[in-house]
Amino acid sequence: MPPGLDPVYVPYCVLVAILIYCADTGLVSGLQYVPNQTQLVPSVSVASLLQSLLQQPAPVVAATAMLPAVTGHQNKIGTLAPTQSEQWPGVAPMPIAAPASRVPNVPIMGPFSKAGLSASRTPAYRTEPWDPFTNPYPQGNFEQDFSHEIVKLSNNLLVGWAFRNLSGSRHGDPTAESWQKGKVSSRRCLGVLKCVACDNVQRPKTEVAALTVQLTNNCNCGSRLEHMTCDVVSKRYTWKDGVHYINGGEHQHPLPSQHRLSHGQQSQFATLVATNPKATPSELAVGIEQLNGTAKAAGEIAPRLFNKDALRYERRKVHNEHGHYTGGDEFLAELSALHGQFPGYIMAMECLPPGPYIIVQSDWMREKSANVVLQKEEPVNGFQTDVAHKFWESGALLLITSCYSSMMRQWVPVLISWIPSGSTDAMCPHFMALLRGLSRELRRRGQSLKDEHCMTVCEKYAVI
Amino acid sequence: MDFSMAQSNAFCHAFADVFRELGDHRSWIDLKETAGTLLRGCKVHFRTSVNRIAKLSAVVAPNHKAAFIQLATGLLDCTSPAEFNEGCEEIKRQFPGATNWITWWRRPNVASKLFEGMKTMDPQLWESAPSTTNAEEAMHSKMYAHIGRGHQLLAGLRRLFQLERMFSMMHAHAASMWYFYSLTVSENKPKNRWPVSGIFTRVVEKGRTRWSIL
Repeated sequence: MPPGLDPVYVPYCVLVAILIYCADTGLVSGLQYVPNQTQLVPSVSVASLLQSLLQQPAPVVAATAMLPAVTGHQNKIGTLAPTQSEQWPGVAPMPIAAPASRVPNVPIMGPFSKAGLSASRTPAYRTEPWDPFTNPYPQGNFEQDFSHEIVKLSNNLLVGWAFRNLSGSRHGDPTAESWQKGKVSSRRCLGVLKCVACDNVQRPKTEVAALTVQLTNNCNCGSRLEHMTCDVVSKRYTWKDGVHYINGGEHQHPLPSQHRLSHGQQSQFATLVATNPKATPSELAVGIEQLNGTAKAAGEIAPRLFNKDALRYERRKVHNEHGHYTGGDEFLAELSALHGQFPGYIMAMECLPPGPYIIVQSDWMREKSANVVLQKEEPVNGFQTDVAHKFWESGALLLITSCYSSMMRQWVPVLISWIPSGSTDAMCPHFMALLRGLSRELRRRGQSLKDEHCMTVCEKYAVI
Repeated sequence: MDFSMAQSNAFCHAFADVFRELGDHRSWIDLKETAGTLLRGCKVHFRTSVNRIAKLSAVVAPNHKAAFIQLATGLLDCTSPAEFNEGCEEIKRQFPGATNWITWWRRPNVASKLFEGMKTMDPQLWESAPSTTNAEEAMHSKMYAHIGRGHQLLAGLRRLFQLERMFSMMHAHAASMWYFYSLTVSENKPKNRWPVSGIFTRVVEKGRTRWSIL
């Protein structure tokens, strides 16, 4: 050991030497550079490094296996809705935004993978695969494979074009081993309705009768509407491992307005509603004001949300997803979900007499309730119990018992109850639960419950 | 409406029930009486009540308001039952309108929990307990500040769990700091202190020094 070197630093030196050795031999690449990621991602832990040192020939696969997970996550976070220019056909869409957790082990074949191409068809040149999450207007002659998971998440490969399904084939099997033998469904684009005078564009209705009626009506400017037809037929083959999508060609007409929200718009609007749960549809239409004074109107997320009814409908949908229930079944389901989320917190619950009550006590709270047996010098001994009247919207009461914690130097809640009223019968279960929990905790510590442990300070007033 | 009596009654019932469950040999009535000696009322709530009565000009003439408040709150400081009863009679005599009010507070099961002169609680326990529920009121205001009010049931429960989580994490933090606190404050410091630098600790065993990782 060189003189003057503190023995503390010896293990550090050894560690650095090991790292340098590993980097030199190419055994591991210490840090991975991930595109679009501002930080370097450490790909191996010290443990796996040492392990790889012991088994020298084995390559470290964990390092590369991390990559798709990180990039997928990156795309998931970046849920900015595409602007109109991004949605415009012909402009290359963003790369596949498939969150890593959603991607099963199905190879996703791009337009250039050999397995994805049929011999008879030559797809148009495309630099990027189509991303159904961000681009609702796929354009061009291309084929692409999607896993079932992505198809489900992207709302069955939702597109903005107005389509009508063509009659399907009796042949084909959705569980086929190759996409060529899969179940095929094809649909034809309906184009748009365009005003001959003012270039206003309307989305065509899909049913024949409705479309006929639509064509007999005039544009808002009073001029005639012209049907710009389109002969693009897109096909999808559903097979064992996913869906093979064939776009069919270039649409030579303006974009029809979008009938449903795309996945990105949906998630953006859901975030807006979830962060402002009490905002009414009208407030959302104007925009919720931010701290810097800006407000983003809902219509800026998707033009469909300029329609107040559509806005109301989409908002209600988000609220329903978050469990704003109307009936009783949802309540029970959500309560049991809550119980699963915080196991053991709901200590006792009773809906039938002598209830109703809900008593909440975690293990930690029960442990703290045993603090009362420690005699403190200051007058902070015993429990304190009081009723909070304003915690519940319904006017029910929240009964809290607290106890002093010397370590935290403050009072901490040790038992909390939801009770419907302030009667003796309603409060009795609370105190029983308190004393039972205390005796249980004391028994665990090898002590027994004594009278003086139960000392309580409570409010006492009369109204005359 | 009278919440507080409900609260103390509920406590007494629960106390008796639980001790019977645990196999206590005393009778249910005895246990209930014992529970009554373990309760203490809140002085602040009494003062609030005094102030409310003092504002009723039909009961207390406005020019005698200060005298009434002084007499009534003086009951809290009485040290013997005789002194307490004397004070009560004085209030009755001077303010006949407050007779019902003072009669309620004089009831044994109420007075014994609030007034020191009438207490049935063990004197040592009486001294060790706080005289108000101020800590609990502060807990409510802390709770309202942290997790809001006017909740629906499940949302409120969820917020309560999150509050509990915060408290337990704060406790864990306090417990972890307790060690360092004891290093600086405590008289008997631990022999082997962690070196401040690095994750290595010096362990002295049988006269030999070795370094170990934490």
